[in-house]
Amino acid sequence: MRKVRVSHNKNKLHVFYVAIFVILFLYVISIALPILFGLTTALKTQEEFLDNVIGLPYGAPWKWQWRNFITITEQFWVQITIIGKGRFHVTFWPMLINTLEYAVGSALIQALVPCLVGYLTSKFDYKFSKFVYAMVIVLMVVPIVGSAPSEMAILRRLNLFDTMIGNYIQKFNFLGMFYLVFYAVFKGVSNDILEAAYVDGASELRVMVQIAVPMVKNVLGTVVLLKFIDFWNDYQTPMLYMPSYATLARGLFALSHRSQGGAATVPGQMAGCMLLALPILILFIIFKDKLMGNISMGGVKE
Amino acid sequence: MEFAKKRVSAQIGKRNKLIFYTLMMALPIIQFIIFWIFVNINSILLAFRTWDFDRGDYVWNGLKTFGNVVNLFKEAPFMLSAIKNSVIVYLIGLVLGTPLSLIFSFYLYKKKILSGLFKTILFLPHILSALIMVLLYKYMVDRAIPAVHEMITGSAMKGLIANTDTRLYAILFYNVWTGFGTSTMMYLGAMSGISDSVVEAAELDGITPLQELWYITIPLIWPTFTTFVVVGFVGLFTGQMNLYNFYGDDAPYALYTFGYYLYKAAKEAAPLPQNYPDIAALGLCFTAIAAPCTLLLRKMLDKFGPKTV
Repeated sequence: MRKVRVSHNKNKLHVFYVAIFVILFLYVISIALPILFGLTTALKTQEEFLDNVIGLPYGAPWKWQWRNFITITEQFWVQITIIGKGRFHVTFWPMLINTLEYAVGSALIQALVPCLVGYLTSKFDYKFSKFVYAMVIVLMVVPIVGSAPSEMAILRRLNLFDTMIGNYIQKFNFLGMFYLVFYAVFKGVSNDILEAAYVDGASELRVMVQIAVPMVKNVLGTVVLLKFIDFWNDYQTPMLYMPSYATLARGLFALSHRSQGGAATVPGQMAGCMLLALPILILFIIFKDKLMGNISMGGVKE
Repeated sequence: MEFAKKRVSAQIGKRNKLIFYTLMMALPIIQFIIFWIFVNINSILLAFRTWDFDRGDYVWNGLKTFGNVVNLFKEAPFMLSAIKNSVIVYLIGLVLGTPLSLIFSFYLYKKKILSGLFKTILFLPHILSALIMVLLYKYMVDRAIPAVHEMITGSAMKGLIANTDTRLYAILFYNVWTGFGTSTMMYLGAMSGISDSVVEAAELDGITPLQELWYITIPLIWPTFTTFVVVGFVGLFTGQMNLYNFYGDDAPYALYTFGYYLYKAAKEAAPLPQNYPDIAALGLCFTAIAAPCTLLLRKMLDKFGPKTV
């Protein structure tokens, strides 16, 4: 009798859920509309855009301005002036290489270092491990404001300012949420499996690389992807610490704020947006469930 | 003999374990010492120094840079706006963004109609570059909305960001609109860890969804919630309100926030080490305000929040 009542309650769509549904539905539309607007605008000429701001591009789809996606690459350039190096231009292809170097390298480092420290502090029962764990938690809530100039000063002293290797060293830190994620995941890995490997004569390095890390490869992959997306989209950090290394995101920033000398049209800027978003959207479509799925500060929900 | 052998082997194993641990921890710890501890100590020291052009190095200069900070607060034409906007954007995020994130994650957690689609769309602004979202939004509200308005009413209207009367509200709206992704996913992650038996027991007692959210879900995810709120407090001083994406270096003074000013000042100072001390001093002042406030906020949330096991 009771079960029937519960099942009835479960299926009933409560007014609370209806209200959230309506808000979320409106939200979906509000997100979809600008993306659709951007996509259709990217396929127009500037004249057509001025004449027809919100409609579909004129003519059949094969007559739309698909060329915009190619011609816009010519407008992806950044003029950089560095004291001592002078003024120079960076074009699309060098920017793409810089972006890959920055995003792939930084993502791998920012995923592997917390993974390594997470493993060591969760599986090696030393006092220092407990200290590191407590320290990360405390530092997460300690607000530090305005340390960028100090970091730049130190990078300059070490001759690492405005270098890719300097960026990698900066990124070689374990602090933050993903350390806690790895810590929790490794805590969940049974010690018996690792002990069995030790009994079989496996070295510490082998146990870590061939047994422990493969057991968390899903989480590691997700963190690499999330970090890659962050770094692919980031232009403000490289602008500060590596001003010579223009990335594609910085190219788009320059394109959208250039007022003269080849200022991009609105369709051009939209094509630039779509071009930069495309690899991320492809990754998102392929790895959607992984990316949105199972990471939480308490670990992983399988 | 056998026992002694085993003991020696165990000791070697322990020693190897310690050597491995030390070697593996060394680089991350050295990096932490240089790029966290030393950077922050150096930041404090920089605030009391100034650049000596003759020596080409920093020299002690007492509290002079703090005098510059006081002058900045007294004289900078954007300071009042920066204080006002920084507080507004933080409070709107807290009062509007946080409850919405919570109820959205609750809806997704309960796996109600279209929750998969909603989850994807909520995550989208988080994975797309903020710059892309800003450009799409900017042209949407500056070009598309006026075009629709003209089509419907026959009269022209200014774009919402181009119009000085509406631009602040349009940018505030943008920040809330795109700000759900991370927090919603984290709350959802925390909610997914709630034991099904607790929820089922409450359902048997005829609990309503709102009661479930208020009396069960929020108390059980309270640690995640407080972490987000406490960590978010520093956003009062570092939040840019996406101004750099909207305007680059040329944001109008009326829209300034502390975070925008700090980033812009650091970027402009990057090639000129003589400008570092003033920004370090400003950062130190902000940290001196933010640190005790953060601790106080944490204590208050712990004291007045629901007690969990």
